[in-house]
Amino acid sequence: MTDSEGKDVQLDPTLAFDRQDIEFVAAIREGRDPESSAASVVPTMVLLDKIDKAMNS
Amino acid sequence: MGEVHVKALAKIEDVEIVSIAARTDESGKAFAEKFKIPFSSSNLEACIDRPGVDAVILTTPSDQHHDQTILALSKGKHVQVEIPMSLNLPDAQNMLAASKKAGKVCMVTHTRRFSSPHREIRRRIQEGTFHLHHMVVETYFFRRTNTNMHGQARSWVDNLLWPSRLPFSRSGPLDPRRAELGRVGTEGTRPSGAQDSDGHFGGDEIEEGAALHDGDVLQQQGPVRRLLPLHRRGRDLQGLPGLE
Repeated sequence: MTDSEGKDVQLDPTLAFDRQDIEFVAAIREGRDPESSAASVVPTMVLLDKIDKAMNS
Repeated sequence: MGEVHVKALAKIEDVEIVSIAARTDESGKAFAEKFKIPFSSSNLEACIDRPGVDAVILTTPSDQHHDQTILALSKGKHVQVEIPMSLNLPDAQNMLAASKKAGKVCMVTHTRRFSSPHREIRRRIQEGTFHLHHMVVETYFFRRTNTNMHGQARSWVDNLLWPSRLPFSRSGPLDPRRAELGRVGTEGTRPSGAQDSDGHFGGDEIEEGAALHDGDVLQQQGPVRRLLPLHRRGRDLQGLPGLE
């Protein structure tokens, strides 16, 4: 990734797919909600539902 | 996507893959052999019921997400389910309620949230050093073949990769009343009326399904002949016959 001045931005090299399953397993072991939990996605589903109704009514 | 998870989980300590569910017994066996998984079946429930299963990862067609998530949660398993979590709001709310009732994790596979560039931007926004002035997001529908991210033929069509109101967005048989809109198969075509003067959303012949990805995660296949900016989709799609 480069910024607006074309300079390289240093990033953690962990792959997204790896980090995702690490988070899933960690949330289970720690008994907590994971990043990207169903609870965090439902508000977006509410918004999509409103858009869907607005576009199709 | 099953393979992606198997490889990711192999890097995590004390995680064991107990069973693999596949569409057919043959493909399940081949997958299990390749990754040394002790049990495979075309019956999801049989896989969930294997001794030692704590969690289930669903990488199945979108219209199966709701029922399968509810099934796994009702058996006391943690679930990670592919996007989209469901095809409508009531289903999503059901899934959340079932997760709360079971006291189990229900996670949705929104991989973008875990990618380093996205996390870095999020960190800067939270830190207050990144101020959004203007954002351009374009998603292109590139694919001309109905294949998965490994280039293998799909038995279903991922409705996230297609305009979602087209009739081939489900894994089941097509609704014959709407089948004229497009067919999945070797002679699949897009509706001819869908093309506008800019050539958006072509009515051209395509070989077998077509689909898109944001280019940074998955490969594109075939020549890029038409681009469909996301912000135009609403307008373009409205011209499609049969859309409600």
